[in-house]
Amino acid sequence: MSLATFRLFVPLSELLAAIIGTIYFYKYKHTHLKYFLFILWYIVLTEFTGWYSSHYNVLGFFDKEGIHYNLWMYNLMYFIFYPAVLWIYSKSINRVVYVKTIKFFIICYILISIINWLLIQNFKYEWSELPSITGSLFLAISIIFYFMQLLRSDRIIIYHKKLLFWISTGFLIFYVGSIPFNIKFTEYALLKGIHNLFLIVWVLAIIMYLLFAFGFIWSDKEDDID
Amino acid sequence: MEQEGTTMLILVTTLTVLLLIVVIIVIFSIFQKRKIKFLFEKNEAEQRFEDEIIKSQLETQEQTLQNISWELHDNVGQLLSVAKMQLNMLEPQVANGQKSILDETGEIISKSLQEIRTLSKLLNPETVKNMGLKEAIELELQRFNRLNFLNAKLNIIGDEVEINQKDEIILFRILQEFLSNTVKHSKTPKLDVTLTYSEDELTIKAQDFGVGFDEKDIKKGSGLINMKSRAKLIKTEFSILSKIGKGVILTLVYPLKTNKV
Repeated sequence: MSLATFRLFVPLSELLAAIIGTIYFYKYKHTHLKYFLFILWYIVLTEFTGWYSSHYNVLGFFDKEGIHYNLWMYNLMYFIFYPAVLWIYSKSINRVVYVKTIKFFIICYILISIINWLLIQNFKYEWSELPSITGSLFLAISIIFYFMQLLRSDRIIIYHKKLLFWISTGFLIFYVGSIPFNIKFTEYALLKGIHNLFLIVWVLAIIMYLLFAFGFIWSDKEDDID
Repeated sequence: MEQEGTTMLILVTTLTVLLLIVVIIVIFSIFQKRKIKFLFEKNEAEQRFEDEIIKSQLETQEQTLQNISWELHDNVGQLLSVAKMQLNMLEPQVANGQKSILDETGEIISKSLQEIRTLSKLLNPETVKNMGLKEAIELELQRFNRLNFLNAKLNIIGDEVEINQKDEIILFRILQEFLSNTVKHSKTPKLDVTLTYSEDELTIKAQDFGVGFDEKDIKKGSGLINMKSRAKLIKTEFSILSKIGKGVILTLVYPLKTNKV
């Protein structure tokens, strides 16, 4: 199978996760997790318009050499994705210290992104790896907070029946697992075209979306109080 | 060469990070599982303790009821008997005009005596045990019928099955509590109690057609909590349904198989 064909499985698994999430929406529609589904659909939308845009060289920007870039879509997506997901975690956690830390993360992430675009990287032509890496780290810490809360709680919580447990596992695998790749992303993978490296990230992404889909199916209906 | 080196580096770090994540999740799962097991055990112990408390409460209560029953029978009952006898002795000496009053008084005393004897029977756990659930309920309903302001009826569906005597008393006390509330508050003209025996459960349904209540208002009443915790003790499903103006329905589903005699 060629790399290009394999690439297709990423948006397909995204779409699958989003559709299954919609089917099982009744399980969590009364909780903050409903916003996760909206984010998921937004990712699917970005992925497909991104594909369309690069295929037809529309919706993006041309640089001085006439090369078409649609990176702004992904940069924008992550600019919305990280604060939204962090916010969902802050709402799923009770302990005040954790919640305050996560809120601090959100503000930090937004500031870092804006400063990055103003001073360091170009929003239109460059992949914003610095905000992306900090975002991943913030997300990982928030997920650990969530796990710690589950461990500390005196209630019997069957964790593998919790949707957020599966979402968290998926996030950890993809967003933390791809940090090393992200660090060198622009430099080596994009410009010099070492496409084999992309394979790792795609596999991680597919695992993540399958975990989401599995979580939607396997989880119990969420309680009103988390 | 340099490119290849970087590729390897990225590959190795990614794998390391992934391994780390897997370890985190596995450790989390192990801890969570142990915690769940511990909590289950703790809950079970608490449950057992609670059951013990309810049981001893019930025993004390039954003991008290038995004492009251004896007092009623041996003390108040005897006094009334003596009063009746003395009234009888008085009868020849009374003028004709006052005889009817004397007769009436005698009748009232007789009735009181009968009421006190029935009450004494129904309060005494031993007699309830001897009579069986069906007869005890019947006797209780007859007592209500004698009060002359409601019409109580007992229906039996299916063949009567013998059940654990201790459980019988608990079921009877729950029903008794419900019935006494009905008589006190519901202003109902009619009261139906149905016992349905099936192969593996006994369903007791008691229904009045009185003023009813709003379920939200009364949830916290101690009578209701008592009834519930007693039902739980003998693994009986307990439910009370009511709406204002629509009467009240009490349903008890007692499993016959798990609570073998």
